[in-house]
Amino acid sequence: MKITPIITIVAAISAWFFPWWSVVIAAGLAGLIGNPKTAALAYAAGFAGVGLAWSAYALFLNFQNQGLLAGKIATIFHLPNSATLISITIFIGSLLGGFGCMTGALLRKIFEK
Amino acid sequence: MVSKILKFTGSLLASFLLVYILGKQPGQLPLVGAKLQNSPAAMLPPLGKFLNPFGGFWQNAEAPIPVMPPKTVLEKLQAPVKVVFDDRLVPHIFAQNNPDLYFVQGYITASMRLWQMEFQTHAAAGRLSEIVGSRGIEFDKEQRRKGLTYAAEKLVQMLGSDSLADPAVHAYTEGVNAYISSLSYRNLPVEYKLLNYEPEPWTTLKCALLQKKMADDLTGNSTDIEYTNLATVMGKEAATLLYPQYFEGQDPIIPPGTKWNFTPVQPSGKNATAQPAGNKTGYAPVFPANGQNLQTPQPETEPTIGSNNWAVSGSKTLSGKPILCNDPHLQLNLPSIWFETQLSAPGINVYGVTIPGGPGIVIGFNDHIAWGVTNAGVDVKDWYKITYKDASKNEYQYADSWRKTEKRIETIKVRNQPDVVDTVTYTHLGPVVFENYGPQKQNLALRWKAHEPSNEFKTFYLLNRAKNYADYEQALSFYECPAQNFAFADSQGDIAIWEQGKFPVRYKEQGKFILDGNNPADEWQAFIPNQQTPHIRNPKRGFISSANQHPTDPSYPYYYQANDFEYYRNRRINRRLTEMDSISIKDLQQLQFDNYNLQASESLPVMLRHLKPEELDSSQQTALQTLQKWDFMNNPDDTAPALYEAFWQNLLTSIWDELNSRPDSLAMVYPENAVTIRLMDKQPDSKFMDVAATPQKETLKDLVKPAFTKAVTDIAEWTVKNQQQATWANYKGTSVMHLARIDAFSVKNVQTGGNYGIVNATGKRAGPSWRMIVAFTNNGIEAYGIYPGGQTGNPGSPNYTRFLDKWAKGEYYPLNYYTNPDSIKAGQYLLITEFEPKKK
Repeated sequence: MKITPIITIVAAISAWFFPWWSVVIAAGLAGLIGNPKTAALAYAAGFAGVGLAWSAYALFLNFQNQGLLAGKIATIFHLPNSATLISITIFIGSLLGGFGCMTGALLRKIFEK
Repeated sequence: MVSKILKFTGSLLASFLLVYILGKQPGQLPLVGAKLQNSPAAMLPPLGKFLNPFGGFWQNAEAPIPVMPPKTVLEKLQAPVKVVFDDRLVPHIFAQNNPDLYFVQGYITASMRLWQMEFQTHAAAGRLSEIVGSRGIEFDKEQRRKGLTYAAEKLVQMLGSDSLADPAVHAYTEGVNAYISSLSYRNLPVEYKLLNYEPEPWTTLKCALLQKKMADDLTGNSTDIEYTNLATVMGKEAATLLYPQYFEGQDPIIPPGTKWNFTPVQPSGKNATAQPAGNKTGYAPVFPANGQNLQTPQPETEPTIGSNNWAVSGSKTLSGKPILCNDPHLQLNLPSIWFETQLSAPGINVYGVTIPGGPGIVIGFNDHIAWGVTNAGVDVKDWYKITYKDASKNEYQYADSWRKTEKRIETIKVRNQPDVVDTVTYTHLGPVVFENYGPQKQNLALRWKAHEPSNEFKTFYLLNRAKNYADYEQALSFYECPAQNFAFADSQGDIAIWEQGKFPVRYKEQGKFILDGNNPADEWQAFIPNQQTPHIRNPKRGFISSANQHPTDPSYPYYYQANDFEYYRNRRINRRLTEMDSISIKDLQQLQFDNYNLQASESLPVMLRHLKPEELDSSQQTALQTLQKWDFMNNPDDTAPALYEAFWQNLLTSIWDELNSRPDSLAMVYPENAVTIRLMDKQPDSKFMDVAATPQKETLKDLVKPAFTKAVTDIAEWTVKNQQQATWANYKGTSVMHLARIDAFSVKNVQTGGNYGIVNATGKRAGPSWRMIVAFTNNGIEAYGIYPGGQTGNPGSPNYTRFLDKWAKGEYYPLNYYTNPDSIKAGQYLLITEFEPKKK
C-alpha cells in the first residue's frame, strides 16, 4: 500500500490536465511500476489512492460552496442528500483507480517469473 | 502464463467497460439504454465525466467570492480595459474606445450568463430539440412557424448598413466568442454538464434573435382568433360589450383632454379607396383551441406581463429635482432576465440593466438622463385567412388573382433522433402559421410588426449616450417594435414620456378579428408617423406615468386596440402621485411596493352586495368578516387576499361558463376583469350571468353565494393539502423558475405580496423583474435598484439568488455609479480584473 499516496498525487495531476478517465491510466502506471504483491493489494491501493484524490478535492469544493450545489444536484438525481452524492463520487473514483492499478499490476505479473 | 494473461485481459476489459459505461449517458448505452428510454435515468449525464471533481460539476460549486484572473490577454482588444466588480458582482467596465467596450461587455456577460444566453436564443430560434430531444419538437415547430429566425435574419441584414449599431453588435459578438473559446469542459456552466452538450459560437444572428424574442414576449399575445369566435357565435354586439376599445373611467398615459396638434395620415396608394370587407365576422370561421381541445382560459395562472414607470418633476419632489422609477414585470426566471452593468468609455458612461446577449444598456441612466420602459401592448399582430389555389400551396388568392408563395424549409435537429422537417409557406403578408386549422380547415397568415427589421440596437446605443430631451427624441425615432412607453427625466429638470413604436393606421376594428387575406383593403395601408405617436413633455400635473393602460383618451385620431389594457395599476399610481408632494426616494420605493388591490376595492363591495350573512354557516360568516375587515392590501401574511382571490376566481368561472365550458370546444378568452366587474355592477341580471347548463335563469345574485361558499371550502382544503396556513404569500406561491424548468435550480413559494393588477405586480409566475429608482441631485445621481436573482447565472453559486430575499421584502441596493476607475477606493469594490491586448 506504499504506492497509495503516489497514486493520489499522480491521479490528481492527471485529472487536472487530462480527461476524467486518465486516472485509470495513472493508477495503471503506478501499478505497473510500483508492483504491488498481489492483484488484490493493487486493487486496494488504486481504490484508496484515487478515492482519496477525488474525495479530498470534492470535499474541499463542497466545503467552500457550503454544500449548495451538491444539495441541488442530489435533488435532481433523487438522492436523499448531498452526502450520498459525495459517496457516489468517491466510489466512482475509487473503482476507476482500483481497476486501473490492478490492470497495471497484472500486466507486470505477466513478465515476472 | 496463460492464466496471468487471462487475468490481465479480464482486468483490462473491466477497466475499459467501466470507463465506457461511466462515459456515456445511461440512455445512450447499448442494451440498457433502450429500456431506460422513458425513465428520467436515461437523461443522466455521463457519470464519470460529471462527477469527476477535477472537471465535472464540482467545479461549478463556486465560493461566495468567485475567482477571476487579475489579467487576461485578449487578441482582439485595441487598448487595455479595466473591469471593477463591486460587492454585488456588478461589472463596471472602463474602456478606451467603443469596440473594446462592447467586446468586453460581451466577454464579461458571457462569463456570468453564457448558458442562459444560448438557451434563450435556441428557444427563440426553435432549436430546443437539439438540447432536450423529442420533448422540444412541438415548441420548436411553433417557434419556427412564428418566423422569429426569419425576422432575425432580416434584422442582421439591415444592421449591416448601420455605422453605429452594427460595430457594437459585432464587437459584442466577438467578445462572447473570445470567452467561449477560452472554455474547457471544466469551466462550462453546470447546465451544459447536466444536459451533456456544449456551447456553439455566438453570432450577430443570436443578438438579433434575442431582440425578436423580446418582441414576441411583448407583442406576441394576440386574441384575434378568440374574438372572432365570440363574434361569430354570440354576435358583434357581444364582442363590443366584452372587449371594448376603451374603458369608461380609464386613466390614460397622456392626460385626458390633451390636444392633438397634427393632421392624421390617411392611407394612400392604390388600396386607399378600396372598401374593407363589410361584415368582418360574416365569413369568419370558428376555431377550436389548439386545433382540437378546449383550452380553458385561466387568467389566474397565465403569467401576466406588464410594467410600471413614472417620473416626477422637481416641482413635486423634496429635492426639487426629478426622480424616475421603472419596474418591468416579466416572467420570473433564473438566471434573471436582467444583468446589471456599467459601461464607460469616451463619450459614454451609463449604468443599468441589459438583457444578456445584446450590447448596451436597456434600462438605466447616465450623468444626464434616466429612462425606463413599459410595454405599449398595442396590437401589431394580425391574422389573415388565406386561400390556396391547390394542395401544392404554390399560389394563394390576393385581390382576386393568384400570387406565388415562398417556401421556407425548417429542419429541426432532434437530439439522438432523426431530423424533423417542416415547410412553412410565406405570403406577402407573412408566414402561414396555422394550416388546416379547425373543422373548416383554415389557413391563417401572420402579419406582424416583429417580422420587419428595425434598429432598436441603435436606439439604445444613442440613448446610452443621450444628454438631453433632444437626444432622447432622436434616439427613440429608430425604435419600432416591441413598442414601449419610454419614461424620461434629465438633470436639467425635464420629464417626458413617449409611446414609441411603429403602429399601422387602422380602420375601426381592423385587426380585432381575423382579416381577409384576399382583400387588399384589409391590409395595413400606412404607419402612424413618429411625431404623431402619443407623447408628452413636462405636463402640468408634474409627473408622467405609464402602466400598460390606454395611451390616450378616445379623442386620439387613430384607431388602436389591445387585448389587455391595464385599468388598475395605472389608476392607483396616478392617484398616489397626484396626492403626493415633496416626494422623497423613500416615498417612491413604497409606491413601487404598494400592495393596494384597487380591483378588489371596486369588485368586493359588488360581490358582497349579493351575500346574505343570515344564509351562511359559522365558518362562512367568519370568512365574510375577514373580507369585510380587509383593508384591500395584498400583504403576504394576510389571509383576506387569498380568500378574495378564491372567491373572485370562482365567480369568474361561473359567470363565464359560456366561455370556459363550451360543448363545441371553441377557443375563447375572458374579458378584462374591469369589464366583468362593470357588468356585475351595472347589469347583474345580464344574460351572461345565466348558467347555460341549468334550466332556470340565473342572475349575479345566484352565482355569488355558491362562489363564496366554494371559496371557503377551497381555502380549507388547500390548507389541509399543503399543511400550511393560506396566507396570501403561501396561497399565491410566487415561484422564480429556472429557464430549463429544473426544480432544484428554482425558488418556489417566495414570501411576497402583491398580484397582477396591483402596483407591486408580483403574481405567481411574473412580477417586477427590476425595480429602479433614479434621483437627480445637486451632487449627481442617486440611484437604487434590485432584481429577483443575482448577477451570476451559476446555480452552484451563492450569488445566483443573492438579491431575492431583499427583493421579496421590497428593499433596494444603492447602485454604485463610478465616474473614474482610479478614484475607486479599496473597500468599494470586490475585485478588479484587467484585459490587455496581445503585444505585437
